[in-house]
Amino acid sequence: MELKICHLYPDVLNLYGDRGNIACMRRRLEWRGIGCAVTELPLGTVDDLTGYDLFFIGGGQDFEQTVLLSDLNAGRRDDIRAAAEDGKTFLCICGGYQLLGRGYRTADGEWCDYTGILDFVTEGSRDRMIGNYAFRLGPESGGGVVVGFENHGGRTRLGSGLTPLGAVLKGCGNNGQDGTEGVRYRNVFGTYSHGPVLPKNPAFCDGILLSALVRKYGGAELAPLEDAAENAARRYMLNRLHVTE
Amino acid sequence: MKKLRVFLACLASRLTRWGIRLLGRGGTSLPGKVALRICPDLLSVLGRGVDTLILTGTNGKTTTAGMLRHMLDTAGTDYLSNRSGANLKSGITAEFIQNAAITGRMKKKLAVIECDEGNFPAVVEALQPRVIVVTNLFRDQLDRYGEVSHTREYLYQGIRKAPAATVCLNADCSLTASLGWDVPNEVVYYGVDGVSSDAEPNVSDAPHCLACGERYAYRRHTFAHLGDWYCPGCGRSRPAPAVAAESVEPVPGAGSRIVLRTPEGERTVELALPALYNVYNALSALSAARAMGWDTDACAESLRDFGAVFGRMESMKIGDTPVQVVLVKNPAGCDRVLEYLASLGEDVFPVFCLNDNVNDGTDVSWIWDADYEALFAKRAYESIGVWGIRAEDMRLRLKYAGAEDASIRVFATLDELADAVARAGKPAVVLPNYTAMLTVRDKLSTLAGKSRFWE
Repeated sequence: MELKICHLYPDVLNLYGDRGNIACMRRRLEWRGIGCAVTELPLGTVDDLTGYDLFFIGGGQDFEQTVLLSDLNAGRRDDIRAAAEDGKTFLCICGGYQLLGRGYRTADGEWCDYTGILDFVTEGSRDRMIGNYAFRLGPESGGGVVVGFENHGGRTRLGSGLTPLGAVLKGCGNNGQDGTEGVRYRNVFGTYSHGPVLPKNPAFCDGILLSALVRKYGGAELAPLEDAAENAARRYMLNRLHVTE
Repeated sequence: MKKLRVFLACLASRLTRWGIRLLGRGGTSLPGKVALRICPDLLSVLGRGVDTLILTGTNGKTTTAGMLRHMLDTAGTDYLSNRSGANLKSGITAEFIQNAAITGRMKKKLAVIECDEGNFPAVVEALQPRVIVVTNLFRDQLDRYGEVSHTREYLYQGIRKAPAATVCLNADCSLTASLGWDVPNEVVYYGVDGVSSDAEPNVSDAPHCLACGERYAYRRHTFAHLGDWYCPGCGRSRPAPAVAAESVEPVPGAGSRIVLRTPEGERTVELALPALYNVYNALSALSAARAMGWDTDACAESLRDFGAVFGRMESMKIGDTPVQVVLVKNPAGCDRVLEYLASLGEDVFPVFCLNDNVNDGTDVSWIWDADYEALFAKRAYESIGVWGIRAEDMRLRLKYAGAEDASIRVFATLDELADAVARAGKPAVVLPNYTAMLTVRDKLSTLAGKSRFWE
């Protein structure tokens, strides 16, 4: 078995230790004897997305996100939408998550069209939501607790037909008001959690990998790993946030 | 009325300082906070008539400030400087108060001030420096300033508040150099000419042209996003440096030999610190010294015996164990230090320390951007130590970078760490981030018999 991972826009969307998520997925596949090939697709590269099993899109600075839009408009938007509808797995963090939505209204009221792949909108504000936080995944994503670090000015509100990735236990999540965090659509996982999110949340990581393996091979199982270091780091943050599993 | 306020502020600040000392603490910013509460424009009152040089930037501030102080010490010039590294407005104010009579009259006429990027506009406005130096801009403490482009904005705002200041900028850092695009100030660029790295530029901190959004290209590259950059889109490019390292020759075990070119001529500089990032620090210090009108030749000569600044790359000995403490606080700086660690071979005891206090940046994600993989691709250690508030995150990072998890020892206390270092039976290299460095260094240097940092 092998997963082909595509890291989209690594040159632009690469803030906050995002590459740790790639390192985590790669190691957890390799430790189980499953192959893993990572391809980086920087801005402006032309490639057929249908050959990949799992896509990773990270977070970026506001300035750099606008640089992306011309590339998305040049056709990549449709390729991403087709892959998502085809049940391919996506992990999209922060700015990469926001890009899946219809658009972004800046704090000054300026509107920016994003991909519109999913029905949600993000509004900028000058008050950033910053800090360690925790949320509980919805049942379709395994139901476990995820710990991470959020740092975003954007407040995201999901359209009525969309399911959030989870429910906030501590911190702000999508907008600091409605208690939702991220989005889950088919095999698309969108979240504000960088940190990076996967190393300290091995069950969440394995759930994402499994979704891609099942999509590709029809069925798959992931052997348990020795997660002592993962769980120690995770437990420390759960205790600090006073959150129980 | 104004005089009374200044007097009361200075008095209250001193009382606070004595109180803290009595408790045996090293508080360096509270006395300034108290004073500013009483007299909000105290820094500008005290700064009037003081010839001031302000340094800022992500990496190298403290080492560059240390070089400038060393130049002044060598020349026997009197000055004040926030040498404890308290570089917020409150800490800088406290330093000025320390060097003033209780009436607010300054006893020193020259100041070398290291300033935090976020506090830079307020400090520049108050002090109206003659010279501003920006070392570089990297990703650092993102949770505090949001993003690196926001940090750049702070610096830009700050420079505009002192249009009469001469500004020394790192030409090789596209983010820093761009600060000179649209300011009324006199700008002096410095840079490294004679070094070319084979590695691919890791430009992730500054990939795109700030003017037109096109991806920057490089004719030559030194490290991270530094080098001879240009924009294929709008034609903007690295400005020609007036102060340049024509060539850099590493002197093993000793430092670097630099051929320095200034408009006044060429000369050789023997720098006692190793690594290319210290060459950049020397260039920032020398361009600042030159802009201040100091004797550049004498300043360059003084770098021959400049040792490290506290915690930046400091050596001590505990019993028979040589111990080095090297500050690591962001990916770019960390990668340089990891290269250095790898160069020492495998017969060392590395200890990685990670805190997430406000002064460290409460977001520790950056450890995943640093290239620990490169270290563990080359080196395997018998034993590795981790310590700090986020020790478990550090352990996890090292595991995914390729370290053997069983070889990692998590120290629950500073005593355990110190004990392990003393018994290591091989040289220890301790890599802490900022507040971890303060406590680790305090502990280790007490054992080694060095002074505490605020003394």
